[in-house]
Amino acid sequence: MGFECYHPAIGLIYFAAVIAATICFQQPVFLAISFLCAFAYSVKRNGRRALLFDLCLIPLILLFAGFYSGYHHFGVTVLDRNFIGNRMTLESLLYGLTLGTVTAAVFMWMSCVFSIFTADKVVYLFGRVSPKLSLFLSIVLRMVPRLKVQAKKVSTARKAIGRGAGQGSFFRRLSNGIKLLSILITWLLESMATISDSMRSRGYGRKGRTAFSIYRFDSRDRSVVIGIFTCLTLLAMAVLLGQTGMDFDPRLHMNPITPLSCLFYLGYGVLCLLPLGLEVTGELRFAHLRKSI
Amino acid sequence: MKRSTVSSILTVLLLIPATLYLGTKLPGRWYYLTSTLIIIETMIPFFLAFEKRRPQARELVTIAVMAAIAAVSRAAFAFIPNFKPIVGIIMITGIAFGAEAGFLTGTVAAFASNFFFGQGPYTPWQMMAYGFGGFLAGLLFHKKRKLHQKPVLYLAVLTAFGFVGIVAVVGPLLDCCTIFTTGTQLTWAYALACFASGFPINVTHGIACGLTMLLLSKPLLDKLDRLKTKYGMMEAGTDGL
Repeated sequence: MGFECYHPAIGLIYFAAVIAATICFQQPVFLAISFLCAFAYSVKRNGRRALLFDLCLIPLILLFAGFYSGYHHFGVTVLDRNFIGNRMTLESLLYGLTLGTVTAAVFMWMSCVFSIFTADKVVYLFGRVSPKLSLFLSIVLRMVPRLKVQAKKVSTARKAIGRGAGQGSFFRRLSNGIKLLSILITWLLESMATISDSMRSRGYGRKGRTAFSIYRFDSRDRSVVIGIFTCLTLLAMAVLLGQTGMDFDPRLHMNPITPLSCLFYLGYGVLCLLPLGLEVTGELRFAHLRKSI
Repeated sequence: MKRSTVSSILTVLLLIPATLYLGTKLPGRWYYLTSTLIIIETMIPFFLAFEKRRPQARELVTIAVMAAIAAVSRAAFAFIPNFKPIVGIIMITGIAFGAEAGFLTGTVAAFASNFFFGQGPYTPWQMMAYGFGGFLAGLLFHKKRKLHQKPVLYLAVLTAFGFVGIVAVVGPLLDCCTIFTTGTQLTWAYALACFASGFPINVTHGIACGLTMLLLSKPLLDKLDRLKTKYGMMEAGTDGL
């Protein structure tokens, strides 16, 4: 009973809002909320692989901050001089840290997006806008998985005749690898042409064609939409009151944290934790009901 | 058909001066905004020219595949600075499928590859420059079937075109991005300095493009020509189905 069971339009609104907020809000509390929630949710969605990926991002953030402050020297708080005599400033270090954290948080949110937005949802959402676009998207989205399968087939067959990409001397391997690539490009171009022809013959891309879908907008979806927009209204207030921004140049400056801003943090936290909370409560309730059978 | 072409040209001819006029009226000389808008406006007629031919899904898909290959080729050589075969592959597509298809492949490939490398104010300029590379190649070589009789000469001409096209056209177009987005005061001296400092980079880029043409133009053109003959696509005025 995950977030993917809700209507695709809700997922679109939700992730667009959260990712836009992550990119725009550079105030550290907002950024920390988004980062932590993205971390928790991606681990919940994708398990151990996501945990490894997210943990690898943290040293990368620190590395980027070091790299950024090595190249940018704005700010008034000089920490040190580096070996070519340029100033290392606290402001540029913190700005680099902020940029790195934003990027890492967006990556983690995107990993959740990929696990929720399957190709049928994309086609459903865009098919309403333009049938041609939806035909195009459905072909292109299937391209990578189809290519992987075909690459495996071709490389197995070529290995069997001693022409695998890992067989022979170095130059032999190189030429075998290039041949494999060439075969795949030819196959990809021609199979794409065939597929689009056959899909067109089946009526994809025509105006009156309706796409099969199992989505309907029920009361559960309505309540989630109300929840999302309540949080977004709070966030809009925060933006208007200048609570979400932060200045790094020439000195660190942000508006003071007031009791009211705690309300904004709460709203943002609820927004970011919404899918995770829905999934966890759903699972708990399911387990509880199962026990009582 | 005809009327839509005329109206698109008129729109662009009116839009660009209007943008220029507004750009001079804005306080603080917004070269960056104005130039980006103009670049986007110049791309409109190219897209319309392609749309006018009522492209089939399979043509669009083929162009998408070629753009994807071009974008991946840029990512694959990211470890050598400024050495990117992307424009070479775009030019080959332009040669095989014609000028408009080459332009579309270039813009899509530039846009898509910037998802690896980061989007920025330079994205529209790159789209324009790469697209123009493909357009030029298609314009010069798409109809020149006689050259096919002499494969060595053809290869030499294409290689030379790849190098010269980058150094003389695509590279300077990319340098214009530096001029318009970083300059606070536009002067000839500043522009010349930008072109001069961009020259070595353009030469590296040109060598990469020439090499791509030398090594890939024959196999890729063979594949694309085969596709064209087999499925009868990308020919103006003929509907495959």
